[in-house]
Amino acid sequence: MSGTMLYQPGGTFLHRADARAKIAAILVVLVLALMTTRIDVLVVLTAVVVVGLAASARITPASYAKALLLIIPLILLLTLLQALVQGGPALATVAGVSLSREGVLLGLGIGMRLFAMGICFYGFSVTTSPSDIALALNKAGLPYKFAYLTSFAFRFLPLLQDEARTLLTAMAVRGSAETSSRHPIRRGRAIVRMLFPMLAGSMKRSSDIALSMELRGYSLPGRRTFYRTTSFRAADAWLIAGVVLVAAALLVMQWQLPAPFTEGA
Amino acid sequence: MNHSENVIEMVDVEHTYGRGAAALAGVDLTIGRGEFVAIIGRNGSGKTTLAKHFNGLLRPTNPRGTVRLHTKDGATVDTRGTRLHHLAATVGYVFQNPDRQIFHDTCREELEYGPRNLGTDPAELAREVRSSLELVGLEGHEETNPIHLSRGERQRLAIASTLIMGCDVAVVDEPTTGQDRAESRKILDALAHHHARGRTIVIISHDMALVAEYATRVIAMRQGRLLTDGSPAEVFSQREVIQESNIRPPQAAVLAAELGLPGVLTVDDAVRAMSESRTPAASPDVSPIHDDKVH
Amino acid sequence: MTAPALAVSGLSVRYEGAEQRALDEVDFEVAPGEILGILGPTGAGKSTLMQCLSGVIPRHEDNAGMRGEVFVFGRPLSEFAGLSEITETVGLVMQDPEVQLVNTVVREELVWGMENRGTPVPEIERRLERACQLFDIGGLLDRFTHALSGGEKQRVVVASIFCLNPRIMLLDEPTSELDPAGTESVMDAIRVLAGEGVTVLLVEHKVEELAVYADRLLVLRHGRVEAAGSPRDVLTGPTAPDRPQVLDIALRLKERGHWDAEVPLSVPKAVAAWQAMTNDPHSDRNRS
Repeated sequence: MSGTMLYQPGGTFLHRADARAKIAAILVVLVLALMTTRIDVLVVLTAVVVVGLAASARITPASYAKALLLIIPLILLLTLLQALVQGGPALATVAGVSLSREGVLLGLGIGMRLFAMGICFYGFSVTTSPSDIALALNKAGLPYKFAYLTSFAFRFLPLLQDEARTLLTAMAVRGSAETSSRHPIRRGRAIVRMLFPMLAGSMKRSSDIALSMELRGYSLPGRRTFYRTTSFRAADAWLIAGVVLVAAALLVMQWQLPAPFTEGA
Repeated sequence: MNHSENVIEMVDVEHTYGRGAAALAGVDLTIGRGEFVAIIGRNGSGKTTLAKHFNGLLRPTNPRGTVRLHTKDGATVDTRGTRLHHLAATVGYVFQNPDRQIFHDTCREELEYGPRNLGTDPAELAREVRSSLELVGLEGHEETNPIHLSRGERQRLAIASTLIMGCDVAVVDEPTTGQDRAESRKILDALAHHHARGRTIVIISHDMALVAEYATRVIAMRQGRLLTDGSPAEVFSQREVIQESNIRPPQAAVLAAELGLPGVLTVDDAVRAMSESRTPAASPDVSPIHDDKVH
Repeated sequence: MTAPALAVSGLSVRYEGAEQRALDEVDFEVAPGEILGILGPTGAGKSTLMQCLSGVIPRHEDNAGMRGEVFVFGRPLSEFAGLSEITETVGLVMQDPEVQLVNTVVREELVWGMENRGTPVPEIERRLERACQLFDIGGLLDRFTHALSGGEKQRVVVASIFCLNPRIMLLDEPTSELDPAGTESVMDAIRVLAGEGVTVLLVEHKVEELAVYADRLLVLRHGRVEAAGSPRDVLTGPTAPDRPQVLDIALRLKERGHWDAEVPLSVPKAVAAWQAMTNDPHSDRNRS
């Protein structure tokens, strides 16, 4: 069977958008998310990202909800920590330990920040093919030889993943309980056993891969043509403009509106 | 051999990968103890998906689908609720690429791996290793590093290291891909030796000549369903069905069918039937000549 | 007289540390547009030969000592500037498709080599379309290469070499993972290409296909050319490593005196020959 890859081909607005525009949009969201810890701003940012992905790439929250649920314990832990460390008025007192209101808000804010950035990256990898990333990097000035390697990695990671899975399965079908053991040492033993044939295989293969690439003109000097050119279109400019507009609105919100939940202070 | 006794029973099995189309679209199938089954069909017809259900490598994706194994000691196991390594003693699986299932430095260690997992008595192991190697034609290779074997020999080593576990059924996925005729025969002969000792053998193959010669039962698949199921003679004589699904019976069978000679599967059959058709049975004027130039 | 597409003279290869030569004084020629089938048991030197003909030995393999010379359209390979210059004329498809798929999506895989060469985009589009039609892969263009079946991978790899427009194609077991119908469709594509003047060398175990599609066969054993000639001559000869079943049947019937026509290489030929033999002589016998 085949390994997994996030990218899913499609024809939505975000799929067609230039990878450079998408990278720029991500950077804006990233900066915005890291700039503030205010929960209201971050909630709005996350909401915009969720709605934006649904509208421009038909990515529904259901497709990434599972991954988000996985980081909820992390966020709760963070919130608890902040609640204990931060000072200020208490939100509640549990068994004599006071939980700081400010800390809870801060913890939840950081959680929202992770949500916003995570969803954003997810949207990018689902809608951008590895070769488009390579192409964008090339356009941004990285020589093609190196830019290509990003897409090359996406080609061979699933292969290694497959191979690892087959080797582990091959052990299991020969009665090894190690591969599915919960005991870290026993499971580790299975993985070590698997690594050697896998590495030996990769070594043997990498020489053949290099040869087959050379036979098809990789690293030939001279001009390379690009069958698929990415062109920065008006729509891409609109994408960036939209993101910048959202960013501006959120900045206004940050500076003009009073922070919420502070009336008790 | 008791053919009425079933070793694998599949009921209404469906399997869908991810969001794609159904790789198996409702399969009911029983495999009897002691059969030599060949699963045939075009690339992508669901052969491997089907075979991987026999030992729990894949499980039905529909709730109604079940796969049950009947073990030697009379127990019945549902693959859905059983961990993979517990099923290994009943159904062994040999993958298509030997290099993804060999992970030791000597053939002996490779063979010992499975039985050790099952807790076989170490005293017995040396003898078992020797006889296993003999059965697949690799005698004397105990201390050979598998990387020094040819690909075909590694395939036979992979078969031996699965069958040494004493499993009732061996499922072997495309064992002769990329092998020359002589090596393909050695691989099938190794399986035939085990079959003669009461093992149930299931192979997936595109080599119809070998299927006709070695299998006792042929299951043809198309688009995730069983197309037809029967003895090689029955299956290869259903010309319309076979043609429609782009399966090519062995030339001997096609030739005989074109000439209206029934019951021909192999070169030997064809030579016999065609000789007989030229010499009326009343006057056997030709003494049988045995010609074995080509193996 | 035109030069042969490929000429091999006194070619010997010995791998470092090996006692025997992998290739031993190999000589042969292939005419432009010819399909040469190469047969032989595992380890006979077939893949080594393909590597020599494509310049991989000695240019990429450094542990193989090579003597002799390979001429491509009359020009010795040793005079070519580098592998990349050789690949402008000679395309090699190696056995394992996995190492030859180096992009994530099939369409990119097919155009990648042409892009590296600097092929103009309209030409890329033309060849891409042709490759899809010849190798029946139009439906795979947007699929991930890692998610293809073994047979699909093989077709994409052959197509991606075809896209480089080589005048000589060296195919090392290009159909091993394909089912019989898929094998036939690749063979049909090869025949079309040969008709357009492409020279094809085909290492293959599938002797029933070789018998029908190859113009000439070459049998290698222990690194030596054991037999060479028309498929009929080579396959009926004593050194054939394998034979099509119909040929085997006819030869055995011939020994018993039941086959007096030319031995067939395909089922339709066998049917026709047998019917011709049994109808007329049969009625003769009945008359007497």
